[in-house]
Amino acid sequence: MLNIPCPHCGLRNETEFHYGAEAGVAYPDPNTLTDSEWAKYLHIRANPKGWLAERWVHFAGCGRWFNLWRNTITHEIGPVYLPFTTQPKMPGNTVQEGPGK
Amino acid sequence: MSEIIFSFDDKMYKGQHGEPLAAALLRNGLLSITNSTYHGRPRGVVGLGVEEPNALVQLVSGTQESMLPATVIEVAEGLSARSLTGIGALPDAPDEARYDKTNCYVDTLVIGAGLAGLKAAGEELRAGREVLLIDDQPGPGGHLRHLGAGLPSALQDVLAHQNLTYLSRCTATGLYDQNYVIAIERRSDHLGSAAPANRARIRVWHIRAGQIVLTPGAFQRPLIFANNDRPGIMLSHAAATYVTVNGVRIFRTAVVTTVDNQGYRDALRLHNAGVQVQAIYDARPGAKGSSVDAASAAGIPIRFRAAVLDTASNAEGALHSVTIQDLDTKDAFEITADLLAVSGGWTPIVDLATHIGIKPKWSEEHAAFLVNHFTDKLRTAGMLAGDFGGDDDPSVFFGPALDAEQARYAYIDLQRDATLHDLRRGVGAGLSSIEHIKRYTTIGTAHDQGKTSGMLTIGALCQLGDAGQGGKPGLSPADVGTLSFRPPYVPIPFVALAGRERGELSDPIRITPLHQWHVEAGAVFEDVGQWKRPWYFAKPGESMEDAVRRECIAAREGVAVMDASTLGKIDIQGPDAAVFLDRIYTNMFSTLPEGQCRYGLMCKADGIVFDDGVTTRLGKNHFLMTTTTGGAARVLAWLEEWLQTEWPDLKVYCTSVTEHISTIALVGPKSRQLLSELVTDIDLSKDAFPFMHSRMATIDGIPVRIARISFSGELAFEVNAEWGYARYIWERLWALGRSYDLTAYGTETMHVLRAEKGYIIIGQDTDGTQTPHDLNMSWIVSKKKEFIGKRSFQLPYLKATGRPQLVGLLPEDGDEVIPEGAYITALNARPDEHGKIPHTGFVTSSYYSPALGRAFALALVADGLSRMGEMVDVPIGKKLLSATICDAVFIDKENIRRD
Amino acid sequence: MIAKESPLKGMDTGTAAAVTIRELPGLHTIDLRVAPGTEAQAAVAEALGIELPGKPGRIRAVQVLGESEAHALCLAPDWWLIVGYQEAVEKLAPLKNGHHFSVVDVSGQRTTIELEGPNAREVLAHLWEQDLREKSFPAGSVSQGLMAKAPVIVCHIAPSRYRVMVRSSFALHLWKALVDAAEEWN
Repeated sequence: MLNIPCPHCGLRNETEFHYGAEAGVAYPDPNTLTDSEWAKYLHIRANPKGWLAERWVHFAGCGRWFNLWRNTITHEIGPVYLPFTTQPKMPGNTVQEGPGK
Repeated sequence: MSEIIFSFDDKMYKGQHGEPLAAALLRNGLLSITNSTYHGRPRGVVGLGVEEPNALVQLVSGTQESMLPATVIEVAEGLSARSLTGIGALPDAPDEARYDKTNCYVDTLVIGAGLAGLKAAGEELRAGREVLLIDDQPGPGGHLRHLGAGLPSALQDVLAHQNLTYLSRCTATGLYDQNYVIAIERRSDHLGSAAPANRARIRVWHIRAGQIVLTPGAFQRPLIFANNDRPGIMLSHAAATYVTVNGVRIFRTAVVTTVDNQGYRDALRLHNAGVQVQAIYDARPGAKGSSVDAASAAGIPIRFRAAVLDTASNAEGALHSVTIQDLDTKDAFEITADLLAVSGGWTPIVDLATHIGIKPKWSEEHAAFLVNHFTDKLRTAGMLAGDFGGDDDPSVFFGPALDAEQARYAYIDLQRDATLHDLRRGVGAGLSSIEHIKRYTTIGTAHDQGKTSGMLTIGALCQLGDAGQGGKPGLSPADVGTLSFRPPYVPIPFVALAGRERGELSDPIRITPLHQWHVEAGAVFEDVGQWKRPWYFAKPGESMEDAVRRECIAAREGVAVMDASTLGKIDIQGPDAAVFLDRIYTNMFSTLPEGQCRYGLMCKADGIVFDDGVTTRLGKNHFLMTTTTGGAARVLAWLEEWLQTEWPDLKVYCTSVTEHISTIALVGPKSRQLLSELVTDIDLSKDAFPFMHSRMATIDGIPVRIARISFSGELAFEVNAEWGYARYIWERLWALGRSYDLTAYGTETMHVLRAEKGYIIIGQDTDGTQTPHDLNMSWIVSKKKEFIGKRSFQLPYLKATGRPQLVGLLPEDGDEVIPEGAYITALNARPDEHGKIPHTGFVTSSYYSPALGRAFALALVADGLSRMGEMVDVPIGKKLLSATICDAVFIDKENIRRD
Repeated sequence: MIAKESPLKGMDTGTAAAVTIRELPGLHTIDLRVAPGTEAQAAVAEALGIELPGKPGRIRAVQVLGESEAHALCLAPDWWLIVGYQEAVEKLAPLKNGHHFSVVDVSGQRTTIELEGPNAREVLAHLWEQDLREKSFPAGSVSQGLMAKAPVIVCHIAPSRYRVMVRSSFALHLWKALVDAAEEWN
């Protein structure tokens, strides 16, 4: 079970959160988009192997939405940031831990 | 230690309280405990703990848990068990023992209370940290316990430290990301019949640790030779422990076969306990060290470059003699023994480390896979990290070369009866990956998950080349790589994972303030999400049909009352509240006058209907939204998502008041008259209090909000009051209603009444793919404003023909209530080119209507709105019903009754 | 005046040595939403005559004339519950025209279950996945989460004394779960 850092409440179990998919996809002005552009907004999201900026909501706690970087392979969690703030840089590659390192 | 009587396979034996059942059985002479699962060969105890592959038992006493190794069961008053052939049986009766779980946060978790674990715990304590120390043994000390030795005083001080919590009989079963550990603590079986009934038998610990120190220790390895499974062949450390610590006196003559100095230490223990050790056969070319010197000084013959090739049994199937082979000359000779103590080296317990993806590394020097991991969060120590403590000096040797016939009875996985022969067949079939071989041979898939067999498999693969069996010569275990283990490290009973979440505690039961009244009134309940709602109120002798018909008639002809408190309610305030609702709902709310209510529909951005309900404007900047019973939480989350992540400029706050406000629906032509007896401070007349209006009033001084909202098409009033007043108001209505024959009704009648009017239930009449247009609700879709979902209505696939549309359906036979979910096909449809009859829709709601005097239904039918009057077929099993598509509003199309 | 009926009416385990579990029925509660650091927040605090705790997770005991005990709980940067302050809604009503905030009486929304005794924390730990250690959740802390799958607000009101505010519809379920969790301790 992931432990997710809520920017307001601190580390909590993932069962207190809901996932909100890729961060940074703003709601567009629907009427300026072609059908296919609109359908793309509705249904298409990046699904990278590795770091992804995601939206989460602490539904069972403070109820606030926030964003965080998460590595979809290692489950590492990177910087957390609030909506309408500057997105921090994507974290670097993780160091494989082991003997001699 | 006190002597007690226990039962095994229906016979009574003497045992010492707290000793392993395996020890007690051996002392009582039960060398052979069971037969093997597939080959039916006699088997006895091999090991000391959870690695035991043979001696599986089922409890007869207590919970009747099965597949427990006799090596981990402690003898206690009242213990009764029987042997298993490796296949357990679930008892018929449910396990009524108490199981629970707890959550624990700690600075440092140390897994394993052997010397390394205790030392690490001491260091952590000195650094000022709080430590949780867990170990699966009944006491601390690890190998010291097997030697019968006490703890050094420094380590006793560690155990006594106030910042240390030590849990015995507590096994870490899984290590997960972010230092999350699941452990199971066995808390009552060892107390036997003295265990208090309220004591949890197994407690599941959910542990979050700042740091983890892994000191799980190691298992001793067996060796591969022909007939290596006979009772009397044991791991040397286990044999020496049972003999010296547990007083097992059944062995007279022993042979020790070894690849390291551990065999010498165990030989010496056996020798000192009076067992005649014939010789130590050491696969190495020579050995040195204090244990070798001591064995030699004790007069135990030692022979190098020799190993066990084969064994023979006596009439009972137990070990009788051992064939020794000179590894250089290949000469063999036989020697009698009733105990063969095997020391094949150590296999450190890498399981937990591999759970989180750490790859163990082969050490030729240790003849073992090790995990040397040192980070801020997790470190390893003790045998896992290569600290074997003494002068072990093991060689990489897994057994002598065996011919095809010998390989057939050279067991690698005793529990699965998987042999070297099976392994060779797997390799012969072209498999080379250890993970593939595991699945082909089933090695490592039994209850012990390869604790002793995993390393043997790797070793055997490496030696296949030497045996000329087509393997790669010179292959090292480093090349083969180790198995990766998955949680759980030991089997966990499902009942322990369920814990207290059984029966009524398995999931929350949500109830309204009127629940107790409903119970007393004999309501039959329906689960609506987590809510318990009255389904119908049957009078004595009434069937469900009778009750629903009576309730429907009361609502249509007299007056009836329903508990609608489960509706979701959200208080919405702020200068932009009206603008916000205009964007959320498909229809307009900014035009709604204060004190009035409006039905609204909301869609997701993809244009699909998501929730509905009535929203009341309480003030200029103040609304009260109601949602569906199941939708309350997700609608509030939806509103918050838009406010927080898209429209932070909107000045609006949303607050859940679902359980602050109770709602009683009073329905029927006589509802006004009845309510006017209770509510005297406002005018309830049609003109003073029009439909879809809301008024504040009082009932006996209790502030209430009354709204003229109808989900049945009848004249109806909703009485809203604070949760704690609901029972009082309901009782008052009930008392006054006696002269009106006031009838309580449940959700089934509510469904009939709303369906007769064509009112939808989202989630029943929709399946997550309907737009408002599909539901024939274009009237509620505003053309004047922008709202969530609007753009999607222009998408070609939502405008296309052939979409399912909501219509009414009248079965030809008016007594035939079509089952909900039934498929609809075109009239007299013929199979298509695939031999299938295509369906054209399905029934979403279906009831018998007392008002119509016949059965009716709602259905989603392809292009249904343009197929009015068309006959369709509804196949039900072998029957074919016919029905006519019609408008979804069955009664009072003119909306006269609601006034 | 007609008395309100509490969701746990009639539920009583009596006093126990390890942990006593009791309902505190009918605690008056308002839900306050206002943007932090704004004039509106200052105006609200002034009208109430109390200082609002500024950090989510903190409880401030407040003095209110005519009330024996009142607390302000900070649940999110712009979200407070004020417990035990009957006149709060009335006092804030006049501010509505000049300031943007939300105040809602939610007294019926939840009831409160108090656990008191030397093992109160251990009993809670069976059902509560959050860190209850003194250094993480000292007296004066509040946290929302799920307990026995029910949404709750847990207040560490004083040493060895916790309050669980539970939605009224879930109250009986949670009561049973808590009494069950205490079984081995009492």
